[in-house]
Amino acid sequence: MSNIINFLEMIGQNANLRNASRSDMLATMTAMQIAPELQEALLSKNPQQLETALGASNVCCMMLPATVCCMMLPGMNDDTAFHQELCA
Amino acid sequence: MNAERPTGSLVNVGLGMTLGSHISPLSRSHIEQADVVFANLSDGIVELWLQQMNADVRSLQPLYQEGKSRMQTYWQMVETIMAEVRAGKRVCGAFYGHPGVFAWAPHKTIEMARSEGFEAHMEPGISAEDCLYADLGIDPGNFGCQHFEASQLLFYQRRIDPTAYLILWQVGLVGDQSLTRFSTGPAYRELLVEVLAREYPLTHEVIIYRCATLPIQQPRMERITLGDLPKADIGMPDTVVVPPVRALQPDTVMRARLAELDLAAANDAG
Repeated sequence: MSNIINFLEMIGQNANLRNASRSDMLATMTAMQIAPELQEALLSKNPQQLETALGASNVCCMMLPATVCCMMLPGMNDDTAFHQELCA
Repeated sequence: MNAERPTGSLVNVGLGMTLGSHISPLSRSHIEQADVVFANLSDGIVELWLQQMNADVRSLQPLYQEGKSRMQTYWQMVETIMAEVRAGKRVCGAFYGHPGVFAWAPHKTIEMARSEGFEAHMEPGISAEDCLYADLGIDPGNFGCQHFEASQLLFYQRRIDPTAYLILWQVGLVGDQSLTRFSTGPAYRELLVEVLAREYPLTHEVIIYRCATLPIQQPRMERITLGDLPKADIGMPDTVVVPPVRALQPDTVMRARLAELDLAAANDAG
């Protein structure tokens, strides 16, 4: 698993890879020994497929669809409501 | 005699929005050197990335539950983090984006840690707002830029300036008074549109924006009309950008007074 995370980190940090052609991506992934099913997910730019393959899907909120992520917010409204609760 | 400062400490850092691209060297160093890292991140893959930086990464995500008050969740986050600070640990809170933007728990933990005598501070990160300016080509200096958590436009009587950009956060959750839901729906967005229609025509173009959290993704930049907003597919991570609808109006009175000041300054200099 670590090689795919390392690969993603490398894409995130490398200007050439960030917008690399399909063939360049494929060559880099092969060199890094990325598993074929993960290569497919990366080439199709499919985060859900990637999350599923990595067993990392839906860490956000646990029970929600993968595309819905929890937020730490909305702080301000919640905070106000909370203080109103306190004052009640 | 000086009282000894307690040994625990806290730093809340931002990982930025896109895996690998945005984290600062200093934030990474805080993560790597911490005794324990608490994580509240945008997706599971980013959390796997974080786990490579420190052997003790603990997710705060399981604290969320649909039907449970988010305020209760936030307080549990605070208590979970503070327990390790009080235990004398060097604690790092790792949050996606900027840890201090639309985030209650990071501010609260720092406030609480300081009040108990612990060292605590925040390191900024690249936020969704930063990505939005870059991806959409918006310069907030041109016309000004207003940011609202979308529900505030329904809960409170806010004043919108239609000559500036309007950025609405958490539109997918707009109008949730229960604090227990993770999304609302079209009927709630209808009310939001009703408020916005006081200033903007329903034909006005708005942009649904979502920044990329993985470097293989592209940002979502979908242009629709304001009238179509209720039926649009909008989730928690989506932001709605409403461009200005009216031209800036010159303040002739104030300009004249400025000219007087300029003239007086020139006379004084002469």
